[in-house]
Amino acid sequence: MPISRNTAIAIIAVLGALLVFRIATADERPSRIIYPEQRLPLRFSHAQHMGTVKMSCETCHTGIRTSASSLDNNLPQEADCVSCHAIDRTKPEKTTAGPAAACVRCHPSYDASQGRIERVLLPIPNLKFSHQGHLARGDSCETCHGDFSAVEEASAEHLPSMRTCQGCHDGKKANDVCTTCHLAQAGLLMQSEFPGVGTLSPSGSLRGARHDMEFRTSHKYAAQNDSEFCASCHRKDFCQDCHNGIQKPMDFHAGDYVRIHSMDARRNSPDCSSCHRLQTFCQGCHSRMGVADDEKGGQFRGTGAYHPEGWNGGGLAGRSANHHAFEAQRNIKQCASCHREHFCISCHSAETGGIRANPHPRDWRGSRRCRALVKRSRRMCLRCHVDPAIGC
Amino acid sequence: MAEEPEPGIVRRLRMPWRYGAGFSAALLLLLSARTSQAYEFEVKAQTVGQGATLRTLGLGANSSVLRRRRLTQSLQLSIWDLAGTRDAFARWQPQGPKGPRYYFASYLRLDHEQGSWASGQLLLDGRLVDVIDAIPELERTSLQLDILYGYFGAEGLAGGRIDVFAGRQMDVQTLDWFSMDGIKIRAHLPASLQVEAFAGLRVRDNSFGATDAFSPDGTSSAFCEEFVEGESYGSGGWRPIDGLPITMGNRFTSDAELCPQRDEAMPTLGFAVATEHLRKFTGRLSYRRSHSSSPGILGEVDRLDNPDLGYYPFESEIADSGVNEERLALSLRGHLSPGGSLRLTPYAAVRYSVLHGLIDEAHLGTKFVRNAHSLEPEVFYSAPTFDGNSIFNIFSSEPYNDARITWRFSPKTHVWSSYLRGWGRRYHSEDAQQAVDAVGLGANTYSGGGQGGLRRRSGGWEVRVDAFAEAGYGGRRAGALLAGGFEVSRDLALHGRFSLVHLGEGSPGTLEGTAGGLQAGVRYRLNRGIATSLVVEETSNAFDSFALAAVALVDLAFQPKT
Repeated sequence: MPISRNTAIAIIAVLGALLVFRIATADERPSRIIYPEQRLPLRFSHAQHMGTVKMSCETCHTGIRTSASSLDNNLPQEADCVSCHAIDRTKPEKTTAGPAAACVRCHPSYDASQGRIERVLLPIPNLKFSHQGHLARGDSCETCHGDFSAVEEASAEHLPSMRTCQGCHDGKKANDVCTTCHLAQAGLLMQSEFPGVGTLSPSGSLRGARHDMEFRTSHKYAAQNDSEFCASCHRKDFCQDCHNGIQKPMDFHAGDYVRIHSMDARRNSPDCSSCHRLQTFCQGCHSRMGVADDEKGGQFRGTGAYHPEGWNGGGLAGRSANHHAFEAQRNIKQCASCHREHFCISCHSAETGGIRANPHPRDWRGSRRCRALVKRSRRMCLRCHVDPAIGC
Repeated sequence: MAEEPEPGIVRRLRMPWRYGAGFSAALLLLLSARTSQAYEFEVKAQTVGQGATLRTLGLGANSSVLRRRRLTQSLQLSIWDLAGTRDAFARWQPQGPKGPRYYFASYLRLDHEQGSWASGQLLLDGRLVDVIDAIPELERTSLQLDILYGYFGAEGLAGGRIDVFAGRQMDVQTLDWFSMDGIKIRAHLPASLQVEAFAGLRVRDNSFGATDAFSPDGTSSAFCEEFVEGESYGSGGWRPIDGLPITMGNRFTSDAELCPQRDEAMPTLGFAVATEHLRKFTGRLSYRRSHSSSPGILGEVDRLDNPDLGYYPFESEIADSGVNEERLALSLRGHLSPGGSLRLTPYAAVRYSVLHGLIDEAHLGTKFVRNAHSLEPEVFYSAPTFDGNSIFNIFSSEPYNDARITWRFSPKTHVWSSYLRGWGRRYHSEDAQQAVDAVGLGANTYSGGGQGGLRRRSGGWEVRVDAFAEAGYGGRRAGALLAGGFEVSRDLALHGRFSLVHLGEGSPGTLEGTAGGLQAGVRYRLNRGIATSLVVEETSNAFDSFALAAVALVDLAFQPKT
């Protein structure tokens, strides 16, 4: 049966919405980097033990009050179960009137023919944590793990997320230094790389600094007023490797960037000065390639081949849309990538025999900008104005 | 989980390290010192070799291919916990012993760039001179030792209230960053505030062991001239400083070294007030001022026909010093959870250049985050400003406004990620509007564009595609990048990237064409802490049939990305 165009669009829209909903709602889980993937092939009802039988957590998790490290395995062992469950390894299929004793009741993977069960895999969390310390301060199990009286099988979903920790670790009630809980490297830098597990990156809940695929171009605004937050995971060499780098970042300036960089330079977007300086990087490479206005070797010098018609002349009233003044006012950095100051001065100087073209913006005299510059950097004025009495 | 250290003894060399006999000797001395049980140190070294071809934009037959080579050795050395065992405990336990932390952190780099034009000689006015003298900028990348930073830190003094940092340090200081040789003191006050004060010499390209990336941007140091008097006082003109006879024969020095203004030290001081330990709000107010003396008599350096005794005209009548940079900046950022899973991050930042008497950067926006989705509208303002010595402060007068909006999708599972971004820009001409209209510039005062990307990571695979299109002032550009990577094993990873961009430059110029690039790379981990990488890039466009670039890298203290 043919499907109409509208039907197809509706189906795609619904599937798309379901996909977005599915992915969006699957996000608020504890980190798989902090709690590496577990495998708990067990059948255990917390609801029955705690809700029905009214047992406490410590009935089974017997060592929890003395556990001072996350290295400890605090899962109940068989010895903790036998106080209620009459387990007998010689009778794996034993039936009882009371609490179940057969292996398969708690270990659903039990293979009677082989006498084997699937093992529990409970990797050590990449976290520092002392149950002893927290319980001694009066915290309850529910504070971090929530109410288990209605929970069937526990999983990693019931481990606390950072938002839970921040309920107390706010810098006042309890320490909020990252390495209080997170593992640290030398120099107390937070460990973020966990080989074989993954890379721990901010979720964005603290500073809105989620390290998404576009973060490299927008991180400035997360770093600008709290660089110490970045320094929790990154040393300064991390910044330097890009911002003062000697190597083209292949993903940021991908492909034939030499050929296409002129547009970024003209718009100054991204801001070239984040990593490069006009007077060295731009001019150095342009000089090297013979496209700068070097008196000694510039290939375009004096040819008129580079700039379009109408680039010079005309005076204020007769300027064409191609006139260099508009480019210089807007983004003189592109001019400075080939030309040096003295090139501008040769025409714009007020004193030295050029055409004395006035480069100042309109209403310059008396402007706050003029006064500020003259007051603080008068010697700049003397590049063009020899008269020491110059002012605003 | 790493192993527990033995109490009180922490020595951790993260990698085999062979860098230099002198430095090794220094480390041995440190290790053999009686206090060696009280610190730990970290060494990272990286060797990068690069080779590339660059085609010059020659006129017709003059076009040629330049071959460039670059070898860079970097070394990061940090010695932590110089006077105690606090760090060692704190690394493994939630709470370390109370008390100050003392440490030293440094990052050195030896960079050698060479190839066509970086060395050799050319005939100039009938004289054979080193190319590096004719094009002084080349000297910056020929052979240099960079001390990117190197400082001592003492944190937690006076009961945790005072931190002190001394040495060469770089700092992000609200909307920009800088480097200085000096001292910074930070005090942690009650009411969740910290105050910083700092003073020192600004690191600039002429500072010892400095890189040019730290200089205030401008052109004042690119070309060095002196004012040569004419027949009467003040009637002369600016002329290049003639120092060729001094530097001839040395490939790694140039006339650019004879630049009195650039040689002047640049004292810098400033302060900052910032919040700390606040979860819902962060803010920072900072001030920074750099100035330099006006150079005096040139003396014997000057050997021109009409010798002058000064660098500027009317040497005795200008100010003794001038301001290179003076900035006051404020940044505010909220971190709010109004309800449910919605999080808001409103932010505002503004920077006032006291030197120029204007606001040169401002930014306002809000990020809305709900689960894996975020939406961020923002507006941005920028006015170009430069080093106080640069005449470009006069010529450059046109600010612009950006409006941007970005949607991001980034779930914690990291399997799928995506973003869409749109932006528009308007330039504000300071010229009279009628003049702008008269020359038809109005249509060229706007630019805008959009881009988007999609990434999938799964089972060692990563595939990413980005596409973009831009038009308006600056030119038209549209293209796409396709990148992929695969971790063959924990030790071996492959990656590649293909890019295709069509561009059409607007005025000035008529450059139009399509450029393509292909990259392939491999990373191989030789051992724990040692990795090698090789990246080869081939590009092609309407002007070049090929342009090959290669980067080889040896990384010690390497931490594999997972």
